[in-house]
Amino acid sequence: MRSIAAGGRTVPSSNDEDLALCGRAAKGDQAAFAMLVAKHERPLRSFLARMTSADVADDVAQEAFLKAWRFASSYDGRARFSTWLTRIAWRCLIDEARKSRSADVEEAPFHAADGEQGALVADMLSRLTDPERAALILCDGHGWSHAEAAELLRMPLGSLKTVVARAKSKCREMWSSQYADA
Amino acid sequence: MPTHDHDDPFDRFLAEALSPPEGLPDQPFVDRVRQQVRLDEALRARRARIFHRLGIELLSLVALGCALAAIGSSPPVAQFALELPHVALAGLLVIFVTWVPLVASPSSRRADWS
Repeated sequence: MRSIAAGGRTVPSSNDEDLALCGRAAKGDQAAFAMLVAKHERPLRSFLARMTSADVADDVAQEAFLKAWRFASSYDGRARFSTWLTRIAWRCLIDEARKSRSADVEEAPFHAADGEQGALVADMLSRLTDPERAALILCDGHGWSHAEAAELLRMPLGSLKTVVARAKSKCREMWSSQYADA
Repeated sequence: MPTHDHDDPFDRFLAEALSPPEGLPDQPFVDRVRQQVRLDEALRARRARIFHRLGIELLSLVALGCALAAIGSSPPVAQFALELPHVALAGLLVIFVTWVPLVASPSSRRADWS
């Protein structure tokens, strides 16, 4: 079920609960904000852990939640809360990468999941560029629309679709060769 | 929304592998964020108190300066200041300027009430 939010964009009506909780958080209700954290921490941390190392992912997720708390009053419900939150986390991740580069720290590899399938997925994702990886995870794993991912990655919709298709094609190739070898 | 062909084994594999894990929230992580939020709020409140006090003290200083100027402009005081040697006048001002913050400091106020 979808409802129309201000600005004419379609946002799932399941977001209403998040909007209400965020409204309460903006008024200083820490319990309401804790409910939002509990609801969204897993998808956010899972996305970040695919983009960087698990430790950095958790630090970035915490920073993103803290910023979301500080700027809760600026969330207007035009996008899903998870999209808004991921946008904040994405900017934190970019800042973190910039800091690591300026401190001349070797870029940490992203978190590899356990098991054969986990290793295959980690290997596939490691061969993609950051925008390809982010776009593929969000669109094919987290159910984001292409428009949402394009906005996050600040690229035109057409380019985003091309990036997703290219990422998928690279992964398919690796997946096929893995199963052909097996 | 992106379209997926879930009959395609690769699409199925990809969707399963990339979807966020399901289950109960990670309570220690939630608690850590709550703790950070509490700390952030405490810091914000402290900052606000400091700025508030700073504002009041600035205002007091301005008021004090105006009062001094008003007193100094009255004829008997102006006459007295003219007759007083410069060193003595400067000494009086220094004593006054040091005494005011001492009297206004929170530790001195606490001492008065103890």
